Amino acid sequence: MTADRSDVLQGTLELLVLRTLALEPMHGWGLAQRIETMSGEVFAIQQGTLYPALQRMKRKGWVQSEWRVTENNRRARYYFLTDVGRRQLAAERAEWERTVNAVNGVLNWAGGTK
Amino acid sequence: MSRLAALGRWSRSLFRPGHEDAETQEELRFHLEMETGKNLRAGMDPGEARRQARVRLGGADAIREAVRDARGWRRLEDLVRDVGYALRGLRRNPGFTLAAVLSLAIPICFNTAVFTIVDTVLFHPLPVVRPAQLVDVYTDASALGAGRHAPSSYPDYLDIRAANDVFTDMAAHVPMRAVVRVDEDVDLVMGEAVTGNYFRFLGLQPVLGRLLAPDDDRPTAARAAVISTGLWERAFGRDPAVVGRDLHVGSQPYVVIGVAPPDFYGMPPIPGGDLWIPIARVDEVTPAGPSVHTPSPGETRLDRRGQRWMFIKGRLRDEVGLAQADANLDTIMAGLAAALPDSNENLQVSLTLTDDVRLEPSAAGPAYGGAAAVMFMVGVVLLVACANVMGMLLARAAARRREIGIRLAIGASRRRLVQQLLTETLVLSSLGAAAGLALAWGMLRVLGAVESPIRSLPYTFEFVVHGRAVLFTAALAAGAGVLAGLVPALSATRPNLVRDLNGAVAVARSGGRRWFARDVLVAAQLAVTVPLLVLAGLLGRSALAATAGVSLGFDPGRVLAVGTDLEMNGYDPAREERFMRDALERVRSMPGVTAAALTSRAPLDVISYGTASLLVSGVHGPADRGVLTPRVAVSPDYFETLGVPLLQGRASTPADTSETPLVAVVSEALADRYWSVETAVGQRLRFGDWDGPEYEIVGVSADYKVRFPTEEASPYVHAARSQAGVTGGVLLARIEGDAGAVAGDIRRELRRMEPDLFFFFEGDTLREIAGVAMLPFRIAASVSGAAGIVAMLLGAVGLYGVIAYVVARRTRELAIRSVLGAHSGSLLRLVLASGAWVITVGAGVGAALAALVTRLAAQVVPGIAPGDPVVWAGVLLLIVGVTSAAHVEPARRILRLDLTRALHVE
Repeated sequence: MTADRSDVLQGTLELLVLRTLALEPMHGWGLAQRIETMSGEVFAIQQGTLYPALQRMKRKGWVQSEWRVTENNRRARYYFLTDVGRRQLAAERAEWERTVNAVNGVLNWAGGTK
Repeated sequence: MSRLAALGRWSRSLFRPGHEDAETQEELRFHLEMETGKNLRAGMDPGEARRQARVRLGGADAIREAVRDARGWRRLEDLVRDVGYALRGLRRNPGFTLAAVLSLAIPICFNTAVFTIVDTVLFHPLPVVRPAQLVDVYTDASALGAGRHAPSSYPDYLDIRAANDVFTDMAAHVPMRAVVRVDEDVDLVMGEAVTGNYFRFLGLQPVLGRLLAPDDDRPTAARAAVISTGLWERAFGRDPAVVGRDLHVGSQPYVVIGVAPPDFYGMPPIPGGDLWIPIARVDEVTPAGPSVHTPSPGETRLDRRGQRWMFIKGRLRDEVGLAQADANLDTIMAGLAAALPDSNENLQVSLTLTDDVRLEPSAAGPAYGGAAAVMFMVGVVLLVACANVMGMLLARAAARRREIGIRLAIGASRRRLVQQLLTETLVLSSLGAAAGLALAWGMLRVLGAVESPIRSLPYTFEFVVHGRAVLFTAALAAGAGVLAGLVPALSATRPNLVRDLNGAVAVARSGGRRWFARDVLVAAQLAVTVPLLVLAGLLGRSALAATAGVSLGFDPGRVLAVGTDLEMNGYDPAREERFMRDALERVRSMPGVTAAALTSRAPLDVISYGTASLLVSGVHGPADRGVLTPRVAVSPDYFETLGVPLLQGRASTPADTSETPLVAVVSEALADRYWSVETAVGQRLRFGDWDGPEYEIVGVSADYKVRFPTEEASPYVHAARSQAGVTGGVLLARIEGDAGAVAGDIRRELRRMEPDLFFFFEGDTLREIAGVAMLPFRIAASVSGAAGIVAMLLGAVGLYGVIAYVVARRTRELAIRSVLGAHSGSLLRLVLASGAWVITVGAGVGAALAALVTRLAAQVVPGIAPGDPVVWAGVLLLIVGVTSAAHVEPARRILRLDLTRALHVE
């Protein structure tokens, strides 16, 4: 099973977190589950790297956190996007699409010479 | 989110680092629970579910660290946490903590105290406006043999002040010893006679009233005096209405016009003290310090250009350097030399920045050397302490190996651990520094309360631990912490330390035996300690020898000096002379007194010292200006009283009177300079400013110390007191038995003649008088001696600790050997033999290092004898004693060993 999975691309973890949090506020574990599910179990999050990343994003002002009670009546720290975070998501997403288009362009051109 | 809010959050988290960290911890715990629950639902058994959850998450410690990293403020936050951790750890080991803190506190106390003294005496800026602009202007009288830093005359001062274009202003001052009477209380104080612009020149403001002004210099002005805050307190009880009150200096009435600022005690090169009067009145008091005489006309001290006795200072204009000022003043002096060759030929000026030299320049060299030696000494003590603490930490690191190993295993980085262990050492050294600072403060208070040993020099010392000393101490603490802590921290976090210290692995092979890390530890401690011990011993010995070993040419403890000020009692010179002759006769016949004499100055009295230009018939021609030579007028029994032998001829006798030819006794050094001891008698000499009467040399005395105990043998001329026309002076008495008792008898006897007699020498021995000149050296010697002893004790304790620890660590191995059948005698032999080999090697390396270090030290600190056999033998004995003692106690335990228990301990 692990063989089918790839590590999260360098630098894309923050984009994935931003995108996931755009859906709703989440705690760290939930975030990890959701990213794995949404990626069709392709991305295996090194769960331990999630928390320092969240802390970095907090410092940049993209996310905020607060302690809430879960549906199972447990205390957990929930993270949610700030306005800055939303703008950052838009910007990173645009950047990502530009990169993907560029890479696709290169790949497609290479395919055209077959 | 605004930056301000972020800042607020950061600062909150900084001061509550534990809170943030606890939140992260709770978050991770929640995560693990959720993951475990998911695994359980997937059908794993509970143990496996928890294990898998941990694997997916990663090491909790490492994550927490990474989160802290990401949060920023990482370093400060870690620091706060580490300090807390260190404090808790130290509280759990009070014995270790106390030993380490004290080990550091004592040397830090010495370092801070010595730094404060050195800084106060040599480097602390004067409490005046822009002290860096001030320049000392000396007369360069090398051509006359009086050195480059001679005082100056008042006419020269006036001419230089008027003609120069490098100074914004100049002022002059001369120290004086004054008998001051306020109402009925009489006291002896140091003071200065100063030019009227002195206080304005320095930029000082009075606490009360006004300070001296140029108008006070006019001969017709009322006698005005400025007093120090100290004298205001002592003599006037801080009377707020002190301005306008009377004060007698000698027999002259003065009016107090103001009080000087509290931290001002006059100007170097000689501390001015507590009282300032106009220089116009200088002939009414007794100026102190050196003076130089060449012939010149004039009625008073202020008129005579050839009488040089005052110290001049200039304040440099902006953009003017020392060299430019020197050139300008030399031009002026050259002009004076051309116009007035009698008094000024061949004389130049020499300038030094006041800021650079806080003492008379000739004394500055030895003072800086001495200061360097003492600083070096106390520095060595601190190094010994660092070596000790390092040893203790190494030993302790071994004991903490489980704790450290666990932390390494759960993912703490080595850097982080080293940081934490270093913090612990820095906390230790900071505690040591705080204790040391408090000790130093107390020590300086005690030193400050010590009164000057004799009344004639009423110095007060005031040493305050100021900001610079605190900074210095903080730097010491940081340095000591890193020095003592770095090696232990690095080795403690090295993963295989554990096995090394257990002795399971030999790290080297030498001399047919295996070397374990613990052996290296002992040998290294020895290799460091031996040089430090030798150095401490050598420094202590040289400091003691500098004071104790000096031969003065006479026994200073057997001669008392009695000085009175009869002018205070309204005596005229004739009556004063009758009193002195009468006093001499009475003292001579007192029990306990074997001889007595009168002299114009007491030997070794640094304050009173005068030179005049000596012309030797047949050597100097009419064009010569002569050679400045100190002189003194003495009564016939002077040499007998001092115990200085006459090598040739005779002393003066009562038969030498004003009617007979003038006679003189010269010192051996003077006789050697022009003739020889054998041929000097019968030669003739003159003093330039005694208007040329000729003296016949009738005797040659052995050399003895005249001014400083440390001076070279110097030429000295003794005139006959009965022929010199001087009055007053000092009465010397050679005594047997208890000096204090005889001095008391003499004072009582003289008070019978004059009940209100005031003494400035109260029958002090010449040793006490010399003690004033030697005070800095004595302080240096006692500090060095004490520091040396402390260093040796610390070194010995450290060595003992490490060896005892290492031997004790072998308990288990020995127990096993014992169980396997070795009997206790052979076990003991084993311990001692291996110990002896390690110690021999360690001490050998240490001795080689010591030879090198002491040779280097001898080049920095004069007076060190690197090969001093007493010190080397002493250190050898100490090492043998300490290392034996350190082996004996654990060995004794081996003999009584409860084997089963010893095996269980491990």
